[in-house]
Amino acid sequence: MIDTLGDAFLLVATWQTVLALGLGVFIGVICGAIPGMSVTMAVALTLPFTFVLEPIVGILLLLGVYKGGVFGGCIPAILINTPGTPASSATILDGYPMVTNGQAGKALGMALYASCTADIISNLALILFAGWLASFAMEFGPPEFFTLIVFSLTIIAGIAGEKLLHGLFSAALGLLLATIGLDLVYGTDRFIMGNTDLMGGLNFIVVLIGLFAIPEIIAYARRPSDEHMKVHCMGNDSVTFSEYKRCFKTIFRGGVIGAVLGSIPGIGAAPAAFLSYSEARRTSENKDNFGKGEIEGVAASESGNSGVCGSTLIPLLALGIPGDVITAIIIGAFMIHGIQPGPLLFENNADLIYALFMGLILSSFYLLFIGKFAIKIFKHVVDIPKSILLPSIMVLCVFGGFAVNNSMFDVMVMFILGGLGYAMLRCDLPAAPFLIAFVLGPLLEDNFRQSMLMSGGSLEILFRSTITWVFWALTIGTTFFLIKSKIKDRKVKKDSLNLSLDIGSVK
Amino acid sequence: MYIIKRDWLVGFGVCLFSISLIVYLIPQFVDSPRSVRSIVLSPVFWPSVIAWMMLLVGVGILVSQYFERGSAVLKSDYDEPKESYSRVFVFAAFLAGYYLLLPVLGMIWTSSLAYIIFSIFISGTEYRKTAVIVGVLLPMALYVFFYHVAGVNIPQNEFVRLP
Repeated sequence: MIDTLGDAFLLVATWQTVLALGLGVFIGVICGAIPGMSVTMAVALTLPFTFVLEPIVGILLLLGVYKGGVFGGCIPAILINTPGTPASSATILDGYPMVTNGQAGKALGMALYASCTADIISNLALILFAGWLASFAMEFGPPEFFTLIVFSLTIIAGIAGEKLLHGLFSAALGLLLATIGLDLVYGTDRFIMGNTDLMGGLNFIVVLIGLFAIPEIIAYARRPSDEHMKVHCMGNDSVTFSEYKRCFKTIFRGGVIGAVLGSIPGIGAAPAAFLSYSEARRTSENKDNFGKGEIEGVAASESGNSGVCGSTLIPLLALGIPGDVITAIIIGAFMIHGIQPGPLLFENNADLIYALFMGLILSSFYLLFIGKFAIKIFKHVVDIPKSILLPSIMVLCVFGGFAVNNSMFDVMVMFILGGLGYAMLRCDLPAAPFLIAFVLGPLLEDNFRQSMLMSGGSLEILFRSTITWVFWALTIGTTFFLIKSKIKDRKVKKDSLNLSLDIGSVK
Repeated sequence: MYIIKRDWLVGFGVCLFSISLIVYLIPQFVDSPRSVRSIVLSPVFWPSVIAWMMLLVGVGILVSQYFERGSAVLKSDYDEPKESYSRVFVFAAFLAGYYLLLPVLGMIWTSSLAYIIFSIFISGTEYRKTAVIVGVLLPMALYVFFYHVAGVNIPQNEFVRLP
């Protein structure tokens, strides 16, 4: 064991490995920060460079890009209301309101600290519980996935704002748009209307940009003014230790949620971020402030998505199964170097595994330093006059929207959804439930239909295991408490409004 | 000043949209094979569930408006001059023009032009020189990144092509 650890240390402690890891994190942060450059694209583009490198150097380079990319996605999500990656879509909910409240530095800082902490938790989960989590993940079939997603959707009731029904309509619209494309079971058309570009459905990044960035631009064009946002003091708006301490419970929970969900193949970082956000909101003392610029909200979503990074390697290393597209690319890198991931990897290449673990721990520290550097640079974005910044965002959106699929059609979809997003804004229909439903909708439907295929159409399969029962109980309990607190809030607001009207009429 | 009218409109809009989904859009644009074993496996099932859900929500909005018609709701909308609405239409036309010019002038030059128009004429920026410089350099920088680094084939025109 000691010998293996020594060999592993020698593998990691080379300048090539250390440099590759740092470079990977740097590339990832930059690519993640550019809307339209997904982490998948960044990892795929880096893959050819690893062919000529030593296996450990190449694999750590890719893992660095992956981790950096997941964090980098939060930078545009917070600063310009456009998530760089799907994983950071939940960060918009509180990140951008914090910027408008003049707390850009705090939002970015908390995102970084939450990401790094959750990343370490995830790495530790990988190192300590890989075997146990892999066997737990194997318990998850389509019915368990379905109940998990149903539970994640309860967040909609929480973030719908004052008008729950408006939020539910917004979510239903998101679910509906997620059905566009070829049917996954029968391959038949759904709302394609003869347009081949719609066969693959609406691209997630394009929808996100359209729904969040373009309405901001339209709203600005409607009433242009060059007011700067309130962030000017670099030193005065960083995260304090007491704020980090206050959010630590949320960060830890987010990291654990991310680590557990990351170990289950096929879930990905976005649902983990939403679930973490939902749980943070449910248990927070400041739950009313969520969606209005609550630092705990940023901590929750970023810890949720970063918590996935380390644990997605659990099914990859322990079982040889890629958890998502990115780990599928990374599995390719293993194979190119003649390494077959799976249970035998721990016996045949134990030094490589331990070296990988050491590199992953090191990458968390790299993320902290490179992330801090990136924040210092990107933070100045909010000081740019709006008449210069918003046209820049528009151009960036067009390039980013096109780059996702090399498709001009996507640019059109982005503009149309921008119009829809603006109309929703004007009608008090919140965009956040739409976003959550659009992300989780396909997972919900696919797993429901797979369950029905398995059971021949019987709904009993949705109650087949302890896991499904636990999620049903959590869903019912959460929905009940959310609705109860909504009714209570509404009553309090109504009473205070009537009181203020009475005072006004007496005057 | 208090408003309630908009929520009535939203409620009616949601109901109309969901009815059009149930009656026309789903039967017309969602294909379902005849040999589907169970209704829950049909491609039509999920969109139908969503459409009915929307209808319920729409009715819910109308009912809640009916019961709240006597109570006051603070106006959330801000007072805006009527010309701000026309600015939205002008901007929509501008975005349509931007999109239509992309295949003709290429993404770089169209984006430069759109940037300058947006910044100088629509926003009325006081930083005109900066707007022109950024308007020219930003699309070029994005082109260099996406084309040369990320390998994305950014569309260009036939007249002035960048390497």
